[in-house]
Amino acid sequence: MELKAEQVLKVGEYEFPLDRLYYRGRNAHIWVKREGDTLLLGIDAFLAESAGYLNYLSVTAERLERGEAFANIESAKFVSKLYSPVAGRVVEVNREVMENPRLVNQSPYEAWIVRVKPSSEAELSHEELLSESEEIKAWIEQEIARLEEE
Amino acid sequence: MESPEYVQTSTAAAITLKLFPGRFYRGARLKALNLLLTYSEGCRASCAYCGLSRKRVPLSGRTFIRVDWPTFATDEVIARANTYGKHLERVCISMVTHPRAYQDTLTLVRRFREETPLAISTLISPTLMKNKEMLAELKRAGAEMCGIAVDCATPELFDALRGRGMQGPHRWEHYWRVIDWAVESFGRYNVSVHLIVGLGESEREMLAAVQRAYDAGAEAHLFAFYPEPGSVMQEHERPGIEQYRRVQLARYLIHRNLARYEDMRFSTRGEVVDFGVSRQVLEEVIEEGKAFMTSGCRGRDGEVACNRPYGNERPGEVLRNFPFLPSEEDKRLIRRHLGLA
Repeated sequence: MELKAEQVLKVGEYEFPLDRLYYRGRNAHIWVKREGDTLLLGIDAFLAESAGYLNYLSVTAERLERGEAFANIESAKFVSKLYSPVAGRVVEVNREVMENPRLVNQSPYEAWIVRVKPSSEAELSHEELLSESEEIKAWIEQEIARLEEE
Repeated sequence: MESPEYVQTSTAAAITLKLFPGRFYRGARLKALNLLLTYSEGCRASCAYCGLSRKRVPLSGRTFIRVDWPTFATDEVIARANTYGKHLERVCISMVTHPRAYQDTLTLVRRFREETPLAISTLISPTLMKNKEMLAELKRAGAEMCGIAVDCATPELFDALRGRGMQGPHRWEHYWRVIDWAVESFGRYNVSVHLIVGLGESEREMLAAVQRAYDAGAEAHLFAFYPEPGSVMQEHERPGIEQYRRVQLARYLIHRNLARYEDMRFSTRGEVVDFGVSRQVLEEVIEEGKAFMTSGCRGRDGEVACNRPYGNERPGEVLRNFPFLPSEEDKRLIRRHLGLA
């Protein structure tokens, strides 16, 4: 469903749809979107852009712990782990994205990586999961400045 | 979209100029732009390992030295080098073997000299060089360093992989003749000889080539073979990390005048078993770490500018060429590779 302009936060050149949460723990840049009783996890626009065109994406864990790695990404010049914002269990991996990781670069908010059954409802209410525009904006501005320093 | 109006850039250059998204693992910083001339007919050569070879299987990919080389307008590359290039020290303009490449290189060298503050290297195709004057003209145009990609360590390998064995135009003797011409024009150690480790040579053969280049007045810059999909050598194995480390260390000793090839001893399989220096010297060189950094043309500070981050391996792998000084953890690993842990 297309979001209205006011439902999308723009920070610099990056967009953040406000229909989901953003995990800033470990500078993970993972978004979380509720779908029924499961959660979709994907990479936000900041990481999708700054990582470069992805060549490899692999899911490395079935049981997720908050703050622990669950996947790896790799582009021509960069490699990183992805850290989970929630504890839970992977119930589905997006095979299309595994086969063509550059879908993440093309449409980071549609190219979800895993579908997760969370351990509990409380997993979605910790302070490192951001939903407010001002919080997201302040964090991303810090991240842009950090990237400029590299 | 052909040179000189257009050039291909390495992926690292495209990222640095913000023409491609991305960044560098471990905070590496590109210090030299690598540009490649581009023509619709492509390169006339047919080197067995090269992504630019006319013998590469079509549609198998467009990589060269492991990564994509996108094409951009030269005007845009120059403008962005001036806008985003605060850490850049050098540009390297690389020919392909094409009849127009020499004149177009001159055009590009002059443009970069006049329009940017970058020091300029040219990576030439010796096959196109018919006389010394052509080298001297490149120097007068504004290039102050000259690279020559001999790539293969022995005449036999060269002939098999780049010359007659591939119905290719390149000849070993001519390449070394052009190295002498380049040293005359550019001065001693303002010339580099590229050598690829892992094409089938022994360590002894590789280090003999390093010493030959050094004695001729050229620095030897090392690359680790990485198979290009669709090339004749796509199934050929990469060199072992232990082999690469020994060659890096021995090359550095030769370049620092700490040892000569003749001082070193080799096993019957041609592996280095004695570097010709004391254990203390070896330890000091390893501790310093520079021997294991990318070898390439120097920048203003006399250190390597052409640092080619992750040009020889995927970023998550053990680094063959460090684009920065190795960390303590890296050095621990290097000692293990060298059997000195």
